[in-house]
Amino acid sequence: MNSQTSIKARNYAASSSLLKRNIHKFLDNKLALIGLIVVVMMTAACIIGALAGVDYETPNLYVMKSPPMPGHPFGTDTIGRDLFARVLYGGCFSIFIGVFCAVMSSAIGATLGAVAGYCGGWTDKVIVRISEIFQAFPQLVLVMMLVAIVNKRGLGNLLLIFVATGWMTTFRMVRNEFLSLKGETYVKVSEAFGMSKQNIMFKQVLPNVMSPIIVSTTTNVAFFILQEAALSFIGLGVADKTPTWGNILNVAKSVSVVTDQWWIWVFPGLSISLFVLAINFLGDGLRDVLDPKQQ
Amino acid sequence: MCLNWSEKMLKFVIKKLLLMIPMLLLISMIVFFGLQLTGIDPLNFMVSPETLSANAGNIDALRESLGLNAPLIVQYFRWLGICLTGNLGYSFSGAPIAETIAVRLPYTLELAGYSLILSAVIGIGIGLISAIRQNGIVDYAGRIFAVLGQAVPQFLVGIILIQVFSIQLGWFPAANRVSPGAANPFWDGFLHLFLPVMTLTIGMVAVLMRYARNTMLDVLKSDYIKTARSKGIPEWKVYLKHGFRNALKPVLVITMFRIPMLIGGSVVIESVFSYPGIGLTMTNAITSGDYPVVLITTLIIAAAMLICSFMVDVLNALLDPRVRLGE
Amino acid sequence: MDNQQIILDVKNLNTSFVSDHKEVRIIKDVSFQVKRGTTLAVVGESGCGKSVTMNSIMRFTGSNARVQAENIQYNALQDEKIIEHHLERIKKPNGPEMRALRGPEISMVFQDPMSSLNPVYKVGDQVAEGLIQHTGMRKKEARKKVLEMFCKLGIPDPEERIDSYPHQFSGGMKQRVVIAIALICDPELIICDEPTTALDVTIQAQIMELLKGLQINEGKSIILITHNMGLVAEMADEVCVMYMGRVMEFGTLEDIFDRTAHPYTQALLKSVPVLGLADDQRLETIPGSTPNPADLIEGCEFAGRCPYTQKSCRKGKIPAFEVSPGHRVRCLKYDTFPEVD
Repeated sequence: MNSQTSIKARNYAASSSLLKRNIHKFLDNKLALIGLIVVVMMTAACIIGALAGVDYETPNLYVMKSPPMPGHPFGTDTIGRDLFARVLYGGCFSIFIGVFCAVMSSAIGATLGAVAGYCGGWTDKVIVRISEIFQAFPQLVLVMMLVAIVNKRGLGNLLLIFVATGWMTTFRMVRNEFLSLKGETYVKVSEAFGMSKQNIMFKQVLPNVMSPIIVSTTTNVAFFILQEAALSFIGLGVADKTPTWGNILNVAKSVSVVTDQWWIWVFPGLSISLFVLAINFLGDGLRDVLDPKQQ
Repeated sequence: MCLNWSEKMLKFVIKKLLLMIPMLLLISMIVFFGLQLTGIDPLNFMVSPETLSANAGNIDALRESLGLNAPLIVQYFRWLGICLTGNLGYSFSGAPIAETIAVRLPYTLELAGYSLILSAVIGIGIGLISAIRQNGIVDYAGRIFAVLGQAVPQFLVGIILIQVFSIQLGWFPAANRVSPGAANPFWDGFLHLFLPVMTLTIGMVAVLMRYARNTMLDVLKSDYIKTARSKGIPEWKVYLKHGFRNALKPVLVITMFRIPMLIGGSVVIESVFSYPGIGLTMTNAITSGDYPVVLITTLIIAAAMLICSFMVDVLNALLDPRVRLGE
Repeated sequence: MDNQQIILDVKNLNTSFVSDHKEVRIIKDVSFQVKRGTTLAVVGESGCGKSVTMNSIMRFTGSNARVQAENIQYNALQDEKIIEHHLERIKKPNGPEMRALRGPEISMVFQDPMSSLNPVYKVGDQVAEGLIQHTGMRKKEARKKVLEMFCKLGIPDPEERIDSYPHQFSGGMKQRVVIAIALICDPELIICDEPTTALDVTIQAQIMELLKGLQINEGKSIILITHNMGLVAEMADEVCVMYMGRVMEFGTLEDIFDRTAHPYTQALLKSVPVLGLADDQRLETIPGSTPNPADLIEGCEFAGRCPYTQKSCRKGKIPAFEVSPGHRVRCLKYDTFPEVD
């Protein structure tokens, strides 16, 4: 009894000191820290703006295409809507799309990867084939095809399509890890104890793969935000009445906007770039701390 | 041991080619059945408008003669057969899709091809220099470029390039692939291609550079580099002959792996520059609900992807003696 | 001793590595000599700085290393005349002066044959490369030389093997190829960095015999880095015992094995399994573990694990004492003997 608690206590102490060291390492990485701060601040600003109920949809016909001025810090768009409000509100949607799709596709990829890697055999073959077919398309083209098939542009459909087409990289990574971890002694021991497959897969093995999953989820947030922006830019994203950063940029397809109303594309463009940049720094920092063997 | 490697190579190539066929079948099936779900009438894209109006009275007979009352799976194979003869069907506007594709596919291949070559040369070049002169000026500049290049959306880069080089400076046209009545088609093509190729290249270089740098750094740490130095050969030989030659393979494979990104990117970039390639064709087809065109363009892009992955395998085998022998 | 007899003279070699803005001294005041035509064994536990010492001499250390020495003198023997090379004065680690020495004068055999050959080139070309570089020989002639070398080193079917790739070779054969690379330009001094650690025991013996043969028949000088005391007894003429980046004891094979002076050497010898160990005899281990080189230790590095430690051992710099001619020990137990630097 006594020795048991002491081992537990020691484990606890060791893990907490590891955590402390990791936090230290992360804080030492200045770029990652800046990334984290920027991500948190931008997210907070967007959410607070949306909660405060900024008016992003009422066109003000008297101040159409107005450059930044008091009352409209980012100016107004082609039909006189306040750009600052639109960027804040659109940020909520863009960030939500990024985070939701990254988390969901990681969850699906990890689950399928765990099942395929651990079970092997036919299950593995079938899932790998499916992922290969998905990967035969450039992701954007796959998304476009699905958009064409679904033929209804809405946030829900977009999320569904992104998640359905975004799980393959995580899947491959987790499957490879499982293939190599399957041979480890502790897995053999767990099997000998008669633990259930689910228990071994998700409670014993999966925690060992968590670090790369966390890192790839983080960088995928940036990926999905960029993907949504590209899709919205070519006019296949979310319907126009829901603003996203990409959607706001859609007007920049017109040369006259690009030339004469720089603020319409510069501010949302800057927001996306800054946020993606910060996410990438954060992801790199997390990778250094959690997963040093990956580059 | 290497006596018959050309024979082995041939076998390898044929095996890989044969493996592509079921993949293509499966993909075309998915695309075909997927678009059936949208509820379009196949008659609309399998028959030219002239035939359709000529047979306006007996549509049902026409339908029967095309086998469109048969089960879906039969329809699929019939459609596939017709496609293989080079008749890709008709768009909703009545134009034969094959003709459109014949003009526009080369444009996209040009765009993607030049970007691929340019970004491979620039990306690998800068990556290698950054690795050899680690923490030097090139390394720092390269890293900043890579970070920015990965953060700014590609279409925004395109917009900025248009704004600067096309509108402000007036050096390059902002849209299209050919100007009507251009005196020198080659020069005209160069002018039209320059900005879109640059846009795609910037995104690719940002990715490749970083990868080339890290790969080269890993290679330079390996023992055979030390062995090479112990022979007393000049440093450039150590870097190029021993370092670069070994870094080349993974870097080239990654470059090929990034082709989907390049094609996905070109779909967007064609929109930015109103560049009449496959991507713009597809985008417009989706917006206007022209499903036959969506179907064909998707298939063509998927086929291009398969060919690329086939080339990755062959390249891999050519570059690495270990793979060559089928180990 | 004069330059005719001594091929390599290293005096007060210091190497430190800079990481995380901290400078860590890895090699501290290392001095030793290699006599022409003999084998010097450098022994010590892993991480004691054996390899770093050799890499510092050959300038294979990375860009974050600082190598300083009072003297690293290589005496080349050419047409009965001695040409002195002062390696410590050469500025560029991979510049022309250093490169001229690598191959025709000093060469190196590395620890792991699996990774020391370039996987993408034929072994014959890899061996010929150095030869072509230093002699300007044509490919055909070089190929002939390589074939001769392969025969000499006992590589079977040299005609066929010369066009094979490294992955088609076994570990022992690969190491022979690595040795061929080292020997092809006919160097005077061969530095072997644990050449057999990665190999099977039987192959080990073959490779060692090969090296011994080179020394005896061709008068090559060899530096053998190893942690295997058995190999030392078989191969070495002189022995240099290192611990924590310092030379603890230096002397002839007999000095080290029969008149062992330093407590560390004694401990090292006691921890070697010997065939026919008596029933009541136990294999001893050295208590404690090697300290972290980043921690600054005053006095003797071995003090923490030494059974004879006194207060004075933990203070200041421990000098080396010459207990008999050529037999130097860095230990205060021998402070009645004359100090040497």
